[in-house]
Amino acid sequence: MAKLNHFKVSIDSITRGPAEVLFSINGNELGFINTSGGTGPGERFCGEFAPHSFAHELALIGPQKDVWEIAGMEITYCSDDGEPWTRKFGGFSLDGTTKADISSEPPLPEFEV
Amino acid sequence: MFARRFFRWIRSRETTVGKRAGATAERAQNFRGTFPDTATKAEAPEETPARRMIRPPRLMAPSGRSGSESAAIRITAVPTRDGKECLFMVSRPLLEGHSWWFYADAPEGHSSLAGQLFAHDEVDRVLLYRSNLTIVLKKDRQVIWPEFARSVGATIRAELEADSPLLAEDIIATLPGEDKVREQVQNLIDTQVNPGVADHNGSCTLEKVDGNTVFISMGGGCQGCSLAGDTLKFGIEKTFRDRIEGLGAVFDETEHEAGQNPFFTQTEAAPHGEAQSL
Repeated sequence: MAKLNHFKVSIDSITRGPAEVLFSINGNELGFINTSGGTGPGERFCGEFAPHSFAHELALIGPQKDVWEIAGMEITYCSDDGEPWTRKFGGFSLDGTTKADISSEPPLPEFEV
Repeated sequence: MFARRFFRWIRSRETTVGKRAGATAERAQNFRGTFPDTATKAEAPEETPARRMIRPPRLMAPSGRSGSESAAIRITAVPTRDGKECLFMVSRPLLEGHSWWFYADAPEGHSSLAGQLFAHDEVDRVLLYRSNLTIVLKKDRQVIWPEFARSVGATIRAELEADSPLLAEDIIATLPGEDKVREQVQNLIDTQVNPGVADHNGSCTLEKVDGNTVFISMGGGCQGCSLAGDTLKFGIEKTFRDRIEGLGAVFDETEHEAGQNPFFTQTEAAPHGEAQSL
């Protein structure tokens, strides 16, 4: 497991999400920093965080009330090893009983032979 | 004499316990003094139930490797982190409709390609599936993959350019059909595998059969279990392989990191034959 130094999220909402977007890292719920945009219908929320820690668990927390329908999400991760990498996610929904696994390992090295 | 000593011990014990109880009450008072508003049970926040983890669908950019119309044969090597195996993704189909494991001790003549790869003493097993080839090294053997993979790539390319069959025709002719594999695997899951893993609250489900290739998932206590890989490799797959003639690869489709109730969608998971290969 690589040490996660920093990650940046970009979330496109279909229905209104929480006023404060929270994520969970190793069981601790936290908010993002340097946020912009919003979680209203059709809006894009951007935020980031610098855990500088080993993320045994990394999850996006669903809103306490209602269902947050997400059209798509893009996350860029930076770890100690190598270049930053980006993961794209398709549509899904969250509510007060769910959280979404957004952990990601650096891609395996590959080369042409 | 004994009775007097006994009652003296009882009195001293009561004194000690009393002092300890007083100290405990004092510490509790200090704690409440530090957190006057939150220490009382009535005002503590209600415990919320644990959230269920779901796995959002991860999108994968098309690689454009397989089925390429280009005349040049492109081969991409992807070694695993531990260096024990390496996937070779080839821009041409290698074995369509089936998968096949070659073992170092298998009779010669099954495949010219496999024979050449086993000439390297480090190679233990080779899997062919669609346009992927996976090499698994022997235990305690290591190679410098960028260098070794170039040699493997050259061997694959030469075999493809020579248009050599990568698996002997007489083996392909004897491979079981999809329906037969499905029936046999399901029967083994029902009668052998699930009764065994049920002791650990686990379960095994047949997800899909592709030719002689089997895709299963593990649920209950098996999902996320650190020993699931060993259970699959040394238990479930061995059970299948010992009883089903011509069985190909067995892949685990379980989302072991997704916690409860994972759902399966089009994911970024690499093409089968990579990290999930057995």
